[in-house]
Amino acid sequence: MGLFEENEPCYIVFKKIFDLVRFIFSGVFFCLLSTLALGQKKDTVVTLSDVLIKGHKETLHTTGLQSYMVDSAALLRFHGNSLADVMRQNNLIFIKSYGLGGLATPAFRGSSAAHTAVLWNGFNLQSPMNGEMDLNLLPPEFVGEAHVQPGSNAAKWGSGSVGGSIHLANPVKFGSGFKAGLAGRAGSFSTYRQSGEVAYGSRKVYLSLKAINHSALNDFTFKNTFERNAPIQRQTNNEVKQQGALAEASFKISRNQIANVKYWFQDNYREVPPTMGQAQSTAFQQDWFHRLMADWQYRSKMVDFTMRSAYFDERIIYDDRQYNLYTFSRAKSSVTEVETELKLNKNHFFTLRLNNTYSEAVSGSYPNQPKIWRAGGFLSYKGIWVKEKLIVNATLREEYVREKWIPLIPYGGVEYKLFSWLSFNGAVSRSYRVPTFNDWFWIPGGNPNLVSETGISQEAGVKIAPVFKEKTAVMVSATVFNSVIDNRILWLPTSFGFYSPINVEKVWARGIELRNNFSTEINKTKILIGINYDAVWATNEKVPKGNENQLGKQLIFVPVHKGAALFSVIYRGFSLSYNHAFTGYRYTTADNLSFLPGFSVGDAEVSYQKKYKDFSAKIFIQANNIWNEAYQVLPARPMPQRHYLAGVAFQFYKPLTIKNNEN
Amino acid sequence: MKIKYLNFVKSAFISVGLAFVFIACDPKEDSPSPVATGSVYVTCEGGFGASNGSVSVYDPKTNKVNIDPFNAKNNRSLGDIVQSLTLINDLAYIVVNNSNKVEIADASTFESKGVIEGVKLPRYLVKGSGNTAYLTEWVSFAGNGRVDVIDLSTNTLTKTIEVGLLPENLLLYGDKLFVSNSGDSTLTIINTATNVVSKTIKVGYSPTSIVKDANDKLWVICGGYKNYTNLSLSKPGALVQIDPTTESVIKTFSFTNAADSPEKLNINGSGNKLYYENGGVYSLEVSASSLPTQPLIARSFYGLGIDPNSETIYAATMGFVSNQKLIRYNASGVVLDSTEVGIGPNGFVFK
Repeated sequence: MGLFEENEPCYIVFKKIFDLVRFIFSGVFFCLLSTLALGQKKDTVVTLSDVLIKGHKETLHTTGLQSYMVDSAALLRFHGNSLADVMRQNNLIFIKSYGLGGLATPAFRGSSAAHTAVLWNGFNLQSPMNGEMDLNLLPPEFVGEAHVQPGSNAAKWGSGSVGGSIHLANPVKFGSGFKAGLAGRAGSFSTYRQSGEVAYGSRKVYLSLKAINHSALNDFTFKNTFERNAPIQRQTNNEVKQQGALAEASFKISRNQIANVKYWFQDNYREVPPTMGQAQSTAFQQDWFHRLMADWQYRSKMVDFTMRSAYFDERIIYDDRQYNLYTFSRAKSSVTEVETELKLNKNHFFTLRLNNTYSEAVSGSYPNQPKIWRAGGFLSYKGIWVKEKLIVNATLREEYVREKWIPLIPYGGVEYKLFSWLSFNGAVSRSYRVPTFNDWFWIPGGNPNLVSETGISQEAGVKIAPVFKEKTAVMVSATVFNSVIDNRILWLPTSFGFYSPINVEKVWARGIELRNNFSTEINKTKILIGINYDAVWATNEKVPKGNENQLGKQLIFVPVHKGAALFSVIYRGFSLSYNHAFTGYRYTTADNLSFLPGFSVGDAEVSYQKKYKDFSAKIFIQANNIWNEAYQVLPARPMPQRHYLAGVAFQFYKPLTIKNNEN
Repeated sequence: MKIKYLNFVKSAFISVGLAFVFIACDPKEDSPSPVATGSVYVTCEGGFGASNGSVSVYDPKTNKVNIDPFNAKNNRSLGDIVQSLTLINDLAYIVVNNSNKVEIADASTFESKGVIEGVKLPRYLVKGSGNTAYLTEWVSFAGNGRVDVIDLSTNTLTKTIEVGLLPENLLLYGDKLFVSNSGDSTLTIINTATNVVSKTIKVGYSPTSIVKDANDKLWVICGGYKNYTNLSLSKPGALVQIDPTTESVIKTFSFTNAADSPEKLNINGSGNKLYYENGGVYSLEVSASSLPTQPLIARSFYGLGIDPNSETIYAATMGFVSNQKLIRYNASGVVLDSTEVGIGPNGFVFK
């Protein structure tokens, strides 16, 4: 039997070529890796000048969109227990929170979790089953840096990049020396967290291992305004347990070749608490995943070449004794990408990327064991023009899903630097979201005829960033955006007693985002002030028949207004940060007749770090919701009032210094 | 130049700060309309988990609705999944399924008068003799449910009686209490003199509503058994007539399509005409020899009720994220008018 059969449909041939290429490359690649690992010598000299890694900022930045970074400084300002906490406390994104420790999903510009692509070193982490990525399951310890990018760039990031995208990266630190750290935390509601880290970076090898263990009862008290006489109650069935590890290995094969392998495992147990109107809950959920990725990068003057593969295996158990419900779902995905970047000269770049994604799932809810194969790719041009003042980017994507081509997805972005302190950006793009396994295959109700949601969006921004003195910087930026997403999938109740999804809604979102940052240093005291404000109107422009009272109304749970102010001061080893976030009213019914009031939450953290030779010790205390606001982000899901978290961290650090040390 | 920048930055910060002050206001709430003295109560489940169930009150004389008088009066919602309402004297006993409680409110002012707690997934309540009432409880989807005997003077449970899986409706006939077990295919009969189960009779799969006709016969509608992963194992529903005296099935009309979910059985005031919902509203005489093939109203509804006096058909649309429509039809299925009620309206109680 030959590799290719006669009269095979072209997509099968296409897939086979992909599989073959993947097979050959991965074989060669892993052989290479093992040889390298065995033949490694200990290095004594550190030279950082020839490090090939492109700055993540550069690769993740999209011309035409503004992006914000959760960097190591932000991760140190607030020691949150999850990326959801860190992002909320650094004012980066509106988090839809189902309660302390519960599901927390990102939502940009009025879109939902399924409309926010979350990428880990370039691979999309959104579950193929439900399209969601829970930021509460993301330990900040495992995130080297994160970029938050409002705005659609589906041409580059693929399905799901509708409202925006979040990019998580684990930067490789060749030559960083030896580091070992241990940290422990304890907080209100029986919260305990331990984490550890060992890393070693020589000139040619970087190895790192991180692990966390977290548990919390989250049994906070709240006033139950849904019950007669509004009694004070203690939250029940809200325990969280989390264990995880992240291992990284990177090898500099030669001056222009690097290979990386990263493996991430996590086991999350989480009880589902009752809402304020429910007397009790017996539900819990267990999320368990393996994520493995490997890449090989080749850089030269003219051509950059990257080959990457990932394998994800996720299992979800949902159990509710009261409703006699037990579902076990497992999805396995394998992704392979090849990317070539051609550098015509220092101002013109062409990128071609091909992607092959295969997902399959086993679940009692989809008994037919569905398999989805997606092949796609994009071609992108980036050019620097007009005395390096103008940057343009054009990308065109095509993807083949379930024997159908999605519409062509273009992206065009532009940045123009008028003066050193004044620049403009703009982008026009098409976006799409492929339905999830649940949408297509759920029994009962799943609709195999669903098509991808598609949309169009435009945005324009201005950024003023004058530098006064070396140590003082001001950044003021404003972005206006407009987007329409059509064929939005909505699950509707049927007369058969179950829900079924259809492509029916059209949502129009538009708004403004303001970012103001001011930082300075006076007498060794670093001060940072950040003020943000977002307004988004996301309205239903097409609704299912019989639901005309929802037409033109704001989407539920999407606040029109939100704003936040961050203040941080660092003096020697002391650091003090305060963040005050305001979230406006959110409608709770699609006809906008009921709403939840706006709320303000203030969080503060003080920390002190002391260094002694190769050792450093740090202590922090965090007070959350210090003004004791009683609020709900989502209806009937209480949030905790004032609560605390404190921790200590010890680190041993031995740089590789012998000579030429640039640290 | 520098001064200019600073001024700009300063004004930017100030304007953003001021903006916060202005935008921090919540939208104005509509002032609650006065409690209607009308006569039709609409039980509106609300969205599952959203705890926004309500009882809307409709006044047929003025065609006006008070969407959620309980919330307006007591400043809190009824809870999660308002399943049913029973009027006893001047009190409304509102069964809130997912909140594990029965709220008691004044039937005209909706002032909260008490709560019956300690029940698990309650469904329907019916008045017994004297100061007692009976309440069905699902308890759990995994095992048998039960019927509670409630002392209305203290609002406490005096006895629990184990019945079948997912007990739903109750109908009191003399000293016999008929209970439909929607999780299996049986009716449980309880002797109310002793409050013990006297007999269990087999009907169709998933019996729900029970009504009594003019000839003192009972009718129960059965939704059928659904197996979505293997459709060939599904069993269609049935409309079953029962003789309450002999406690036996008189006749069974079987539905043909296993995908159908016939439910919401109602009877008119004269007790000679049955109505049910099955993707449309169907009706038949109690003397009919077969099920109707054509719907009286070719539109699917979630809530269905028949005004016992005027025979006006009350039908409510299905939806759990916004207020729904109550559409009224005359007995021959012609639209009379329509108005808005609460979220997820599942039934009607006529005062």
